[in-house]
Amino acid sequence: MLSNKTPSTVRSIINAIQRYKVLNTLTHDCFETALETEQQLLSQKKNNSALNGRPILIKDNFCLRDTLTTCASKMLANFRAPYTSTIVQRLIDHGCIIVGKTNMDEFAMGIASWGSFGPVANPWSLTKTMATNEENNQTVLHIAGGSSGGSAAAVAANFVSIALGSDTGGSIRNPAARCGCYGFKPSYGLLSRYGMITLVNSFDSPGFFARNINDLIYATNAVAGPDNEDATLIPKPFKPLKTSTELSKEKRKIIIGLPDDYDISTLSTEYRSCWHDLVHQLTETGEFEFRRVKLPHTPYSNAAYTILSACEIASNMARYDGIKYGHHTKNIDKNKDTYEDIITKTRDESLGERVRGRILAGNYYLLEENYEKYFVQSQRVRRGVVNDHKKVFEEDKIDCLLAPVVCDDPITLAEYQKSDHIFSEDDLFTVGANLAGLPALSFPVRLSSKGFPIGLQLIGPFMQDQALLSIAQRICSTYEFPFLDLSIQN
Amino acid sequence: MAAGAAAAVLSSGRFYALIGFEIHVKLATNSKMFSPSSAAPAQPTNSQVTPFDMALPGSLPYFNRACLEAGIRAAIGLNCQINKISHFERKHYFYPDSPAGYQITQQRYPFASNGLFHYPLLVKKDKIKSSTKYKFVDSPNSFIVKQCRIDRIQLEHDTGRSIHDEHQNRTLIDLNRFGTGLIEIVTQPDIKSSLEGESFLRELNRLLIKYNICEQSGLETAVRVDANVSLHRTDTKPDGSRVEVKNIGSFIDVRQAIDFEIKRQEQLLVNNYPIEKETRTFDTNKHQTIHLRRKEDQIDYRFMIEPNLPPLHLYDNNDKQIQQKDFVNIDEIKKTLPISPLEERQEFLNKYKDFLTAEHLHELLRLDMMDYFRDVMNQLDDNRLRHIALEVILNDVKSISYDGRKIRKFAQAVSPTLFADIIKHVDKRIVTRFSLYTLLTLCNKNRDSTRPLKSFLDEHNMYAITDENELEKICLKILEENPKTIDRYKTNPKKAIEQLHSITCKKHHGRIHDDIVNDTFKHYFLKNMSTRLNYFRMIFPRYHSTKPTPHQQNMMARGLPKRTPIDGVQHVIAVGSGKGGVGKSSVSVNLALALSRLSYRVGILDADIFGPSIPTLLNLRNHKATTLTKTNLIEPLINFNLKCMSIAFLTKSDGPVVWRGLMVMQAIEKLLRQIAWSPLDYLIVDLPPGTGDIQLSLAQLIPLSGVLMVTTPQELSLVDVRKAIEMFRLVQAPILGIVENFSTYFCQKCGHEEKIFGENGGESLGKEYHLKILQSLPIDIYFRQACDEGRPISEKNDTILWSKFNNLANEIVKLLPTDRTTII
Repeated sequence: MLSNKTPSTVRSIINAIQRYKVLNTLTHDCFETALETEQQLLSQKKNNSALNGRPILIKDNFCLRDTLTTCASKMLANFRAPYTSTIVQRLIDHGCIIVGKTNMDEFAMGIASWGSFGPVANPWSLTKTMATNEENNQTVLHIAGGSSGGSAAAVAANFVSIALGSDTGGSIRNPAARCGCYGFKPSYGLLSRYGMITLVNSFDSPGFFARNINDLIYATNAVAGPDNEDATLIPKPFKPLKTSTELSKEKRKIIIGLPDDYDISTLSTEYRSCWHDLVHQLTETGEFEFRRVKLPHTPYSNAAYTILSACEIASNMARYDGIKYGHHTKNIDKNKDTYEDIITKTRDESLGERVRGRILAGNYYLLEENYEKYFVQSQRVRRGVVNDHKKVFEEDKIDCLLAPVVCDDPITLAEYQKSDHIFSEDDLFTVGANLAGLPALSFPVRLSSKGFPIGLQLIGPFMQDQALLSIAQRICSTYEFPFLDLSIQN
Repeated sequence: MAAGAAAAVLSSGRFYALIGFEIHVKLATNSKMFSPSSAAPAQPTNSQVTPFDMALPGSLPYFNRACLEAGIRAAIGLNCQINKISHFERKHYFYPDSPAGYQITQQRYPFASNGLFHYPLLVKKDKIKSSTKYKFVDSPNSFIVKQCRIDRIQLEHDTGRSIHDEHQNRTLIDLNRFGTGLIEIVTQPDIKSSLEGESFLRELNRLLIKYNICEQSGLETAVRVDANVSLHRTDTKPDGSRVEVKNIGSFIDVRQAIDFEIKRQEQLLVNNYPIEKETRTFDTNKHQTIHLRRKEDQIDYRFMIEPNLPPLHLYDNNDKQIQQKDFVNIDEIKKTLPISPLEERQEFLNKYKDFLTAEHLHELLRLDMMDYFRDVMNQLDDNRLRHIALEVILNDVKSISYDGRKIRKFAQAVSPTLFADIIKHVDKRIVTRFSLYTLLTLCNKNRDSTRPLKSFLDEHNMYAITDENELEKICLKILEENPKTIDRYKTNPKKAIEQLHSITCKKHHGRIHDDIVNDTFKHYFLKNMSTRLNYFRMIFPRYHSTKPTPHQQNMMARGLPKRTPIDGVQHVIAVGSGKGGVGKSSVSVNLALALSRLSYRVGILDADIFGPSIPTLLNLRNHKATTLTKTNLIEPLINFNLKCMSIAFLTKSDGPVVWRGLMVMQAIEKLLRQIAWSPLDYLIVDLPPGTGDIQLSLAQLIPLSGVLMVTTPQELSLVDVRKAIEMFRLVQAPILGIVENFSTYFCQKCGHEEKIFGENGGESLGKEYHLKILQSLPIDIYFRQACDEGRPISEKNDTILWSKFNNLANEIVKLLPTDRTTII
């Protein structure tokens, strides 16, 4: 039969991933089942979905039944989820083939995708060096951004065309910008969080990486909409997003805001000029108009984000006691250890330093005497951020914001290890969209002088995902970005 | 405040108590509050667990609408203000049965607050009258209605269950219960006593069941209570300090816990100790509260808004967006509610005002029989029948159901339909009022509620005899068998008919209607011996009524000493006779011993001031009672496990007592009141022979449970016994029966039975006075010897005589049952 003779896409993906093991994109693979699924799909009647038969990767914080779901943490190293998350199930129903689970920061806390499985390497590092020996890895490989670095790197390297990630404080947009692909965080409440291991309930947004905007739309259309498992979703039915070909060719003038408060001192000259150059370029087309806007709460947004996320993290992590599932300490003194002692040992052994630090901070902020001072105050800031954006979109009649995602080129793994700040300056660019629940898209613009991709982001009004993606489509059609492709064997 | 506080001042006079409740109610919903798994109780462990219930990573809560609706029903019932926006919060603490490390509850923004709940105070009627503690709001004919403010109601879920395996020293977790819906009702500290607390909770429970908020009962308790108890000086305002008694499971436990806690705190305050803020638990076995932890040790729950659940929005008819179908409309829920228990009672009073009073309702409430009453009323369509049913419920059903404690079992066995059927049968005179109790008892014992009434009546032949011919035959037979009554009719026709009536009733147990049989007899006498006078008496019996009017009763009762029972003594049985020398004392002693052998606590009092014989019989001659208790009572002497007292133990010598009547009266009073009798089940009083001062004093000083008449069969003795019986009847002391002593003699050599004192003397006496011959005792030579030597017969267990005493004791126990709290 004909289908048997066609070369297997999944097989070639497996080969590519194995060839570039040094990128460390996966925590676990599902190669066997992926190959089986591919065969099954070929023999089945083809469904109409644009995603049918599409191999994809999912971040390792999405539950997939009977598959290890580790969140790159020792705590969940042996955790096989007994259920499948809504989004993953919907992707499977659309005929997606899940090839593996991608590497990330422990419990998605971080910007380097460096959890218990080691760091994800930026695929662009391989364009500068072929040396992949163990000794110099740390100095020649660069970070891929995070926390969804595995998904971003795999899409940027063209192992797969679509990968699933999650964005809590920029975890999709940051690695997308670092690796050079599209990363889309939809509005909060559009995609079900059921089965996605929670980091910060009120910020978490599932989202996708892709090499073109249409793929983002296909994937989002496949999974968005109400779900009886997640009470925070927008209850009204989801209206599918239209691809560029489906949209009418109406050329309305787009008004784009440039937030002054994002032009911070740490933003490198090269990255700033990339931002400004794009503005000039687009203004020249005559289809776009740019206005400077103010988001006065931006300087406080990082602090508010840090406190609010720490509180929810402390609360969400309370369930990891090693009793029902997950790591359980073997170092128990039966005569002496109390229930609390055993929990302490279990958590000390299995949770990373960053995770424990945030739990400690969160519990401190939540103490009765501190609640008003930190949690309530941070919520005020959050409301301020929401109102800032509302004002810009509604009063200033701005269609969307254009802003940087990161300040400068990625640092090497060795440099990252030496640096000791837990929170990066880059967070300032991304947390705003999470605090306000807005849709945001990170897109690659050009390469830096050192040969790393420079990305920018668009932030749109709440639930205006369609408009945002349409604008992005129009912007990106004005230039060509040199996408990397490691899937072709030289 | 002042008036309320004054009403509840405690016995020490310096403090008053304030009590507030936190009540957890398990909601009667099919599924859990935040997950779709079943909330059914008693399922195999961990069989009702979804990812959320075991806090799997990535799982999310989804709020169950049914739980919210149940909560709103409660809020309406408790007259709360319903907050249109409320929030869920997480309460953090580590405990194995809380898998997420937090519980979802409502802390800062509950969905309902500021309520007010009215409840009737459930206090026994006699207590209302005697107590000055409670100021009445309403007239004595109505309920005492109290009110309690409700601070808030919050929605939350239950925890799992820890099962401690002592064998293997481990704890196992069952998550079936985890996530089932609860509401927590928090009251203001408006409750001032345990009685108010219990009344409040009972009324609340009625409301919760009526509004289908929680299950009536189940394998798991639907309502759990935390009681906050605090005591304050009468001259200060409450300062907010309190002691919390956690997790009390029943009304009775709540009452006991509060009582204990008030007493404990009062003791501390009286002795100038401070009251520490603490959390305690109630030990149901020891009936006391036990320290759990100090308030300072309490953990900070680090409350945080639950980010996975949006704010809870509620709507009413004033809201415009109401059309959306998944919005919860408070007014719609209000419309579906049945009337509250309070309104229902008002409705009863209006509907059944012909026969139902507030007092009846109060009694029904107190006995927990309101539901049964309502169901029965609905089965009957005539107020006359309903009235009968009410009377039967408040009398027969009350006693069959142990004052309402077993009313649920009763209601199951005797369904309201069956009960209504029985009432109809009584009304149609197919069943007599006498056999009603027996019939109800039978139905109650039979657990098959579908069994028709007819099968009971057939099986036990309980149909009333109504056929005139048959009845006449029966009556003629009775008259034939009791010729003496015909003679009696000539002197006292009323008495004669009463006697005939009771003989007939006894013979045809429960099958005779008393009015019909009386009429039949009257008819007979009218026909056969129509004296004018008798005729007159019979037609207008009330003009010759021997019963004094209440006014006459009051006049007669003046000047007589009031009968008061002896503390700690359940029954006083007097043993008397008409004549001396019938073996009264030896019967008393041996009866006492026989009762004692049946594990009752028995005392014996020798009331024969002039000729005490008990000391001899119990081998206590020449002993004196000299020990005094702390309360200045004389300790009785104890031998053969009997508490024993005689005038001989108090007088100086063995010489004769030469006293006048007044002194005798004082002596008797002293022997009754100033002896440490308590605790006793039975006190046997050995009376002197005859009908003198002592008998009269005794009967007037204390309520006698019963009198035993001892007699010998010869006519000489019987004459005096009659006098004695008449006397005890006069002072309204119930006579238990007759003991016929020395009835026969068995020859030692040949075993021949000789009736030395004649035959049937006792029996004819019994018939004459409708008294039962409780026992006939033969003469026994060893018995005589033993008595004289102070060795009671019961030491030798095997004789015929002993078994007869044993039977006698059993008979007594049957007639006068005791509440045996402790068994020696």
